[in-house]
Amino acid sequence: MNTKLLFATLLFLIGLSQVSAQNHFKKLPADINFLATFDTKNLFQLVDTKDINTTLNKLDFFKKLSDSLSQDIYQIEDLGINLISKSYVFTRLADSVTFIGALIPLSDAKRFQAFIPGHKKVHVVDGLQTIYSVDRSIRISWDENTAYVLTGVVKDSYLAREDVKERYGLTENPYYNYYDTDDAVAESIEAAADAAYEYDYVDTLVDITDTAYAVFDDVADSISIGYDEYDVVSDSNLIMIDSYDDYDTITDNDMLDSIGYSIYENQEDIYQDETSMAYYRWLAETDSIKGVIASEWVDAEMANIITGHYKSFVAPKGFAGKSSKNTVAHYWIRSVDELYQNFMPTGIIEQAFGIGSLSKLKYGYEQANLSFDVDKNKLKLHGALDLDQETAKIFKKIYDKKLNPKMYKYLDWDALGFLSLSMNSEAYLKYIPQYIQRYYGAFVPQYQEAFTVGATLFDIIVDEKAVAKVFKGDNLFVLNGVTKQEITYTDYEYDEDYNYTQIEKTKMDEIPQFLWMFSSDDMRIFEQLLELGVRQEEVLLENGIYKIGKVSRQFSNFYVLMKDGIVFLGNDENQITAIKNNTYKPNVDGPSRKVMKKNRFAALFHVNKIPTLIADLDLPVSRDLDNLTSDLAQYGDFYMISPGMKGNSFQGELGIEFPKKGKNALYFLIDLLERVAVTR
Amino acid sequence: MLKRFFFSSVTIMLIFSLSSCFDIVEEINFQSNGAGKIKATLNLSKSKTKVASLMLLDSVNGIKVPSKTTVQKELNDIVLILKQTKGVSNVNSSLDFNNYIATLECDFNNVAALNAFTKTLSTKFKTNISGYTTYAYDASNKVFVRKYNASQDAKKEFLKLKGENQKVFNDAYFTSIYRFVDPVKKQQNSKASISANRKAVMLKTGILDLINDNTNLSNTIVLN
Repeated sequence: MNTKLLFATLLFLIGLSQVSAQNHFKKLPADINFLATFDTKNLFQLVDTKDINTTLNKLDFFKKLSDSLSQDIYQIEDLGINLISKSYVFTRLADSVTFIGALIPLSDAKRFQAFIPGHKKVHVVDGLQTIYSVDRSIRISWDENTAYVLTGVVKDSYLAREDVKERYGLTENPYYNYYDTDDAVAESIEAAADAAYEYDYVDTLVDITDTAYAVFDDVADSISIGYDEYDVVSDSNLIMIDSYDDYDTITDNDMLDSIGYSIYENQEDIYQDETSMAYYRWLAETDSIKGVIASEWVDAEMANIITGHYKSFVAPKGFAGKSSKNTVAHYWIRSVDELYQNFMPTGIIEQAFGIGSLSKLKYGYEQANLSFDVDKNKLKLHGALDLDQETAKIFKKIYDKKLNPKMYKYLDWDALGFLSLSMNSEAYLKYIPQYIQRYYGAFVPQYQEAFTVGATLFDIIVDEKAVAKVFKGDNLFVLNGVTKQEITYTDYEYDEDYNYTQIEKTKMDEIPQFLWMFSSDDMRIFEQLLELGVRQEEVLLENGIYKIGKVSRQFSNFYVLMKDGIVFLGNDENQITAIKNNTYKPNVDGPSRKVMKKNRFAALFHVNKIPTLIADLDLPVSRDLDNLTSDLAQYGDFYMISPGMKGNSFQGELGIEFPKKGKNALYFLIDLLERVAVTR
Repeated sequence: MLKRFFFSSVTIMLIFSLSSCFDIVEEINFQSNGAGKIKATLNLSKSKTKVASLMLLDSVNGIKVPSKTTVQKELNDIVLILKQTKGVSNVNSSLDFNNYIATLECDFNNVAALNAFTKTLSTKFKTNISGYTTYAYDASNKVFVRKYNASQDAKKEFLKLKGENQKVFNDAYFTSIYRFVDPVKKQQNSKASISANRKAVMLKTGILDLINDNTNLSNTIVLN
């Protein structure tokens, strides 16, 4: 097993470890930027190790691991990982290197050491047993209680610094030289080619003419040379010197090669080959130097962590790492803006667009927390993104609006799902230009004034209050089940002489129905547009309902109704008519109603209705997917929700409810994994 | 002939397999000298809601669903090939994405042009269309012959589909209509029939019968 695989396996196993968490937490450097905490105590309270071992054995995981390690491993415990503590993965961004590290608690260092491949040389560094990857960019050290894993990625921006280049003897990328001097090179090659062409052309012509005459003489001398051969000789040589037009003809011939025209191309090829070779040489050298730098820094960083030289990480205010008993993993980012900037190829963008320092680009996104929870049969990922004061103020204004309660009653229990979004469109229109001006203006400082002018112009032109009356910002889109609806199709009718005419027929077809609603206090613009459609005979007005027939024939017609401050747009005529006549009496979906009410954004899909939908639509499903499809009938909901702002942080959650088959969602996933493995 | 092409195109095959019913109509009007006009129509309008739904997806059961652009490009390619075929002129095509109806029509100088066209398409789509169907017309004896061999390629593609997808071919039909200036004296295909005015021969069959070789399109039509 190579070190990288070992590293990957360790990272995986991190999720299966547990000890005195506090000790390891203290070893984390104070200025880490990202921290992933794997709470295996919680994990193994949710799933028994015996069950995990059984599944991993069924999947031949231990067998494969044993084979690659030449060690017999039958259970997780054999790996020497302590299963009663939290493990951590972290990153620390230094000026020169991005460090990625892990702290894994051990229960049996000897067992863990046996897990190290035999051919790996174990060193003693900083007083600890240590192994390195071949390029020494990954280091694993361990004592009785902890395995420390660390790697480093050297930043290109660091290597681009003149003092660094000088210190490590780094050279320029030869491709830059090639492109920098491209014109000069091309010109010199062209000049050389021209010279060669002129010289060779004259000489070659003399040679060719000489040869031709020699052959002609030979014809005269010997009757064994046929007339055809004479033609060939004269065609390929003498015509060439007649006119400029002939020159073009000759370019199709190989003749030009013989007069040196190919020199340019050959020289360029050779040049490019040399450049490529130089590039690969440079790459190897640079990588080697990078490896040396990385290993130096990794060693230094590791020493600091092991010896406790760094100040310990202290959970900042808002750090949600102290998980509930359902949390199996928690992720924390110190600053999302900082993360953006670190991973954004700033150098390339700055050069490409000739813009100023991108480090000024700030969205106002601060710390982020994300937790992965197992809540009975539900898996959920929930988190919060903290915003700076300015941004939080803007977001609060935008998301201060609730969904129009009148819409709740149109969500039927039988609906497949819904999407609701409530924003304050007036606040949105008012603040977005300012937001763009503030953040993107800093991004390109030379255009800061232009952004300001643009924002003011937008403010003047757009009357936010007026627009907000037309489109208040709350929306509810309901995807109803399929219903039978009459659709038209084209068929052919034949007479007795087999002349056919195209005719329109109708049939009943299953069509997915939807209903979109949004609030409006000023519907004049919609009315006027629809009236225009009526005059153009594109829209039909019947009993206060507008019927739009030509937008899309596939999904029948669209119907628009404006009532009680709500604009309804749907494709189910019966539903729209019933809403119009106050006779629509749906079986209101209570739980979904609660979700809508609580959240500024909600998207929810009743997964258990998919099999029925597939059957109703008569969609072909292959036999392989039959079991999985029928499983879906036992699922709960898949959802994404956001209650909007809570304090200065923006909240969100994503979740799925699995069938209530096993003890919890993890048991269901284990079972699913086994079943999928068996079918393969 | 064009039916062969339709079968040879995997893209169209997919749409067929995912739509519950469709019609292919091949209509050829012959003049006495063997020249004429051919029009092929693919009509998926009866399944338009399903086709429209499926085209919103990227793939179904692991088979890629062609986009409107892909379908349009396929048709454009065919039109281009037809325009370059000797003896073929007035090439027209249409695609109606509201009703999912595609048509392709052209004039031909003689049946040899039709055969040349199938050959060109065979090359383009790397399938042996011309091996399945050929036309011949003997103007002096006024005999029109269509030779047809069931397409093994089509059958192979069909068998690749899962059973559930195969069954949707149950409601799919192929219709061929040949019209002549002179009255038809006799025709040999038992599944075809002569019109009341005796100037046309029509054969309508289920697509499944064609794939399974239960219906053969070969015919010899003798004119008065």
